[in-house]
Amino acid sequence: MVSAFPPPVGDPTSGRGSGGLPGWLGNVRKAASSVFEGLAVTMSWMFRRPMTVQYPDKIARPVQEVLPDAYRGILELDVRLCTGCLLCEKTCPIQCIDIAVEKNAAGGRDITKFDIDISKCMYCGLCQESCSFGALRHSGEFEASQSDRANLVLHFVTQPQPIARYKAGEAPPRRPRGSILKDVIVGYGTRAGKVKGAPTPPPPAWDKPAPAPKPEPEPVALPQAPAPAPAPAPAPAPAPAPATPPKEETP
Amino acid sequence: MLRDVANWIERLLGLDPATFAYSWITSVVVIGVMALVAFVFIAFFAGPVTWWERRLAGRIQSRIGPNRVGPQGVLQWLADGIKCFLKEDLIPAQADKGLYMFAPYLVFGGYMATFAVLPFGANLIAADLDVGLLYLLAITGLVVIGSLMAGWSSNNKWALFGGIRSAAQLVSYEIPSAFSLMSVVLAAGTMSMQGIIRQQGAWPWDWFVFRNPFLFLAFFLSLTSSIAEGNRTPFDLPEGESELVAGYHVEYSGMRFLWFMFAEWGNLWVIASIATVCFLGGWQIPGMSPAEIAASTGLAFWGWQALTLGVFVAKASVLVAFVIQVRWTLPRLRVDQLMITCWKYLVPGALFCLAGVLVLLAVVPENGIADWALRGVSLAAGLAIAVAYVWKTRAAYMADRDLYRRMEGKELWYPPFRLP
Amino acid sequence: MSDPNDLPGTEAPIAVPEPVPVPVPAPVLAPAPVLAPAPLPSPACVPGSMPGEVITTTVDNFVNWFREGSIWYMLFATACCGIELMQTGGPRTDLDRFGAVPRSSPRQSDLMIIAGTITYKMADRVRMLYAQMPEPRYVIAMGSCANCGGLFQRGYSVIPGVDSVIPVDIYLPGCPPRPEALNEAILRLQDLMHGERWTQKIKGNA
Ligand code: SF4
Ligand code: SF4
Ligand code: SF4
Repeated sequence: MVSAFPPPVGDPTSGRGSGGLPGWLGNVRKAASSVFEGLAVTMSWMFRRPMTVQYPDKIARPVQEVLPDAYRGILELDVRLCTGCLLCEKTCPIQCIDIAVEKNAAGGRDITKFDIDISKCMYCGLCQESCSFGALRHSGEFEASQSDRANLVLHFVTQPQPIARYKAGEAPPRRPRGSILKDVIVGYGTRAGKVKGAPTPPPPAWDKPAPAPKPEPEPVALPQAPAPAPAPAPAPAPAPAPATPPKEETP
Repeated sequence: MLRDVANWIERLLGLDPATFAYSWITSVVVIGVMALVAFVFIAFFAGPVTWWERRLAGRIQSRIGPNRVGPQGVLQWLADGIKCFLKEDLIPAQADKGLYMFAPYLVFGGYMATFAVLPFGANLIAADLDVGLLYLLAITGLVVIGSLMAGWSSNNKWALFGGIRSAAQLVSYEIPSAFSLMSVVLAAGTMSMQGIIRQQGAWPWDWFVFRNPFLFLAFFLSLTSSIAEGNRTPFDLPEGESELVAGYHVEYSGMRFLWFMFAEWGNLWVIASIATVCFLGGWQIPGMSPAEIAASTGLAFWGWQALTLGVFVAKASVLVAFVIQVRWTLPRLRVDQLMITCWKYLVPGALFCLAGVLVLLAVVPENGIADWALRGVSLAAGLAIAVAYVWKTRAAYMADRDLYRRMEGKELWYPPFRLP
Repeated sequence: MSDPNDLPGTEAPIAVPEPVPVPVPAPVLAPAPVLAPAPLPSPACVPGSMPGEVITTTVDNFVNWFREGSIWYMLFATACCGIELMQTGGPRTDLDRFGAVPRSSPRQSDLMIIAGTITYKMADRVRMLYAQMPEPRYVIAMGSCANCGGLFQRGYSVIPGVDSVIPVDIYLPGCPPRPEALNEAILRLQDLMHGERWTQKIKGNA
């Protein structure tokens, strides 16, 4: 008998080799059962807990706290510990760090500039390793998006600061991880968003009273910074005037 | 119905219906108003289903889906619509401008025209044509023309590929779709949508899907080919973004793109409605015959209309959810597999069902022992499938439950009605 | 030891060019772009620089609320940051919560996330894709490479920042930024959209 359904040539999915009506029916059975199994599996997912972490607002603790300690977030400098040794600046393979140390009137030395360009940094951690004083560390912080690229250069030193001098083992305690960046990142925490009631972070165990919480800005903070358009325009600007702390530039 | 509204408006304006000019003007006004009403009606069907689809897809993929625009994101569709409306309308410089601008309206019109014969309730039907089903099958041809036109006029090779694929696919799948619906027409003896519904009853054993095993089979064939006609995912080759960027509407932006989206999600309702009408008993309410509903007056009449609308929408919603689930379960077919599925499996299958129904109609007397036996067999098959489905679902869930509890320290159980 | 890629602390060559983290000036597309369907809007179109934008009406608020809730981003990724972009759309950081879904065609997207290194060769395409997007359009430069060239800044083939090719609305630091960071950038973008007048946006000159 000539098969009503001759096996097709060159397509293994449609019954080649098994041929004829049994092959045809076998394919139908296979298709039906696999679709059935697939539907059952997806249906079972309708009863499972979604794995979404509803990031900004509907989470128990801020993501920054849940991250592992080894997470390499945005770099953070505690100036009270920095000896101005420039090791980190020299170690950075792509020259993100810009430090200036000058003699002051009293004969000592001041750090006058400590800029880290986090728009360029690759978060490799080499500078952190090279800093033997524990001054430069990666924090767990990652919220620093800006509408002006100049703001991505973090100015950790805004007025001349005498370099730290301390004996080994007498170093002042380092400020808690992540607490410095809040003052350094322009417009930190000013995101209005349509997400409200973000939970206030409970203080971590090692935290001391947070340093001077900044005033809550207006809910609609953007459009901010009428200052330089983030343009291809040149102006190799150390744009935000270094005289004032950068955080006060937002209206 | 159109005529009634026209007369009503004419009376309202204090016009003399005899005068030609008035009638002409009022006709235009009435058609405009009706189109607007239909548009809003369709928008309320097609819009929220996008949100629903995204929520279901989210849960299937272990995420949540839109939940920020409005409470639980229910206004998401409005946001998408308004945003698209406000976007710039780009027309490629090399495009065939006339066709390019017209194509979305053709697609949308072809889809909107199907709503004319969909019976949403006992009397909620715009036009109960005697050839309703035939009209439905024919009018979808407009969609083919529209998508082909869109693909051609964009002057973009991906769009052209998409348009041609769409045409090939829609034309091919019309055939099994039509054949499997013809089995219903044979069983019902009419092509009018309301007629088909009246031939069925309110209880499952009176529905055509459980009338006999052949119609039971035809239900799945018809659903499959409707999904393919609606370009839904296992068959969404015209829009396959892995090979064609976005298919035939790749060059469309803003409002014109919105028309395509409208048609796509409205089609979901059309698919579900056709299956509901032809196989699942339409809007019938147990214990209330269509004649009684038609005989009621006043408030009771509108109450029954609302109730039948509710029944219809409930049945259709289940099917919509099923089609959505199919979309997020199955991967896309290859082109040759698509054509093989149609011509080697669905078309013979549909013909087989048609022949089977014919034989049964000739041999088995209605309401005899054999008829009820056939109904019982089909109903048992349906129940068996449902039970197996629940059992399989539970097995798939149980397979991971303990592991999850051990690893996460939480219960895995999170039913769909729990809103995150 | 005189390898130019050597560590800058060890030997001389670092002394001469100041390691300034500044944008490298404009003429980036050295070969004239072959495509240029329409002249790109001037860099002044970056929102936030418009003086009149502060006053928003109720209509604007209403419209913006919906516009914010439906940011369709383009499926476009060129390097490792793209992995995080995919992850952001994935189940754990579900961008669909905010109504942001990927669209494969630039014609239908509102947002272009430059996820990855942009080479000179790719810059043409980036410009073209940007030019193909309909008007209220936004750009997020994701990661160091898109911000300023990142670790490839001195490379011969990488453009120093995508803002030398197209205007950028939000700069997102990180290498790669974690998915939550991209999520935050999109929330920032929503803030930015909230302060806009869409009428001006649509005209393409805002
Ligand atoms: S983390 Fe690496 S790239 Fe970033 S500043 Fe430190 S050394 Fe330079
Ligand atoms: S941060 Fe550390 S390595 Fe860098 S200058 Fe200060 S003390 Fe030296
Ligand atoms: S910024 Fe870092 S992660 Fe992103 S593309 Fe560049 S090298 Fe890759």
